[in-house]
Amino acid sequence: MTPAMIQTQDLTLYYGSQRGIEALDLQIEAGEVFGFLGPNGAGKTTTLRILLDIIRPTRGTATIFGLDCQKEGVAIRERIGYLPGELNLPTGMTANQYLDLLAGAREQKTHGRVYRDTLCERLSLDPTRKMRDYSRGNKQKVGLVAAFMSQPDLLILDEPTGGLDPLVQQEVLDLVRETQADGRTVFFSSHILPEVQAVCDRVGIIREGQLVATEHIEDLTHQQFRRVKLFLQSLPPADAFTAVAGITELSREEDKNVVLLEVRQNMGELLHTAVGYGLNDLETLPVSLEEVFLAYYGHKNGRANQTNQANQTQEEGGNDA
Amino acid sequence: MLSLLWHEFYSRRTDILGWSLGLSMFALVYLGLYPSMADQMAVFDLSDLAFYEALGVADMATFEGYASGTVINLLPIILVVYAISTGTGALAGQEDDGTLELIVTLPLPRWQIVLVKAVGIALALLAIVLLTAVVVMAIFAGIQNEITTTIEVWDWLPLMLAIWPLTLAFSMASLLFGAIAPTRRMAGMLATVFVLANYAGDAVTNMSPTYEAWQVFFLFHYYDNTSAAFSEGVFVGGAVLLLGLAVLFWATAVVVFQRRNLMVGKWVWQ
Repeated sequence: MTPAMIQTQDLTLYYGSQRGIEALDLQIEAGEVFGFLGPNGAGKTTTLRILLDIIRPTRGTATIFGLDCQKEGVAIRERIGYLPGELNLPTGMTANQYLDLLAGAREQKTHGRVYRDTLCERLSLDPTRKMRDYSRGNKQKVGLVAAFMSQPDLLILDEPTGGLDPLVQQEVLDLVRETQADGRTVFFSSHILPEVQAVCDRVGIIREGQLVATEHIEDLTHQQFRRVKLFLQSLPPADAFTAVAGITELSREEDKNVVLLEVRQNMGELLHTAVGYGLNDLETLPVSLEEVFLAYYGHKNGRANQTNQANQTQEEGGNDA
Repeated sequence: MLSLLWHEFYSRRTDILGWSLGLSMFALVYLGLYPSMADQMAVFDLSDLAFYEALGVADMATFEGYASGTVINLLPIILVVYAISTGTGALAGQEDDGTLELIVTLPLPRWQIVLVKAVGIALALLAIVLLTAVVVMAIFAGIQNEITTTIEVWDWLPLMLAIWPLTLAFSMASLLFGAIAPTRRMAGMLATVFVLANYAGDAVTNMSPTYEAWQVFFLFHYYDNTSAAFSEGVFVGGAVLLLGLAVLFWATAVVVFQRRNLMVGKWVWQ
């Protein structure tokens, strides 16, 4: 059986009593673009750094290509390109000198230079300038070229589009897509949800050091909650639907007898109630990854708080919608 | 690994030139002035004062004593400042400024990274010592005919080279502190305390016969800064021991660096 590209089991890191990550079980298959979502401090960078053997876990295991990240780190890193989230470059060198240094340390032969030049061109990077003269965006481009230039089997990118203008952001996403089309794998940490939704097959959501969901993007956006628009013959009272557990009324158009609801559970009961008011039609609206993400962090985010409460009700009540 | 090694050395080129120039200027001031004050120095006898002897400036009446009390005595103390700076900068400094992250994610074992840093520092220190030695020898050649001395130009070379093992040992100790401490500032403090303790310890044990046996614990004891070095040659055993200590500090730094969590600003045991 082919081993997973990345696999962690019970991966935990504590700095003294301070939590880094807790019991992280993650599996990423070859050829995937996997998005790793979470706000600052959730444990994304810590996870990536454990995979790269920059920091060592308190307990648990992490493997890449079936190799142990701590014991066989050199063999793993030969096949990895990495972009750190907080990229700092030696200011006294030109980008070309720095990229030569990294390529030399990887014993990358000259054929890699052609692809590197192509990358610089695509990202609009002039590599002949001293890095102290670069803007944040240009430094990010150097980091991206450094990560992509060896055409590694696995790319680990921590916030890859930070500081880039929209055109270059799109170019980076194109590079990610091309990497996947090449049969290679990308592990992509971000909190810019539209870009994750644009390129990732699956996402993992990390919250306070724990992985709270790992789903295909489509499943995630469909399973968590649905937004349902009901076209009725008569307008029901304000509490007609909200009396049903797991349902929140978002808005209503009184002149058209249309009600917009967020549904987490009890779809059958909702339909039964709607029929009582003369259900003419029903439309399910797409939910964005951002809305799902906010639902996971709902306790801090306005309206999503309602959905979080509904989630609690769901857990207490038992049945899924 | 060779490209990293070249980078480590090349990135220190301005340090090498700057420190060589600074040390050369220092030597120029002391040696260049000597011919004009040789007569005054001839009656300047400090040999009864244990304090001066402890600081390596006991015999100022001869050129040999003057040269050893100034150039040979003070150059390594000044260069130790660079040894601390570059030793703590190699790991802790790069960790602080974030540039270490991409280096440690290259397909190299950590011991090779520490090795490359150590060799870069060692070569830089050697280059500074050699360049300064060349200038010192040139200055001496310029004043040799104006002073009374038995020293020949080439006598300076081994004495100047003896600065290297001492400063190398302190730089490797600083590298070790950089591997242990959470920040470069903390590593720098530890290294400075270490150097001062070694200097003060050597000076105090030099002054008092009661504590003479303790001299062996202080690194400056293994560097001969007396005028005898000119006539009897450098303290080879001391230099070898300092080189051995440098290797020991480096090896300990490897073990510590191997174990530590990087880029998190914690002590190695945290």
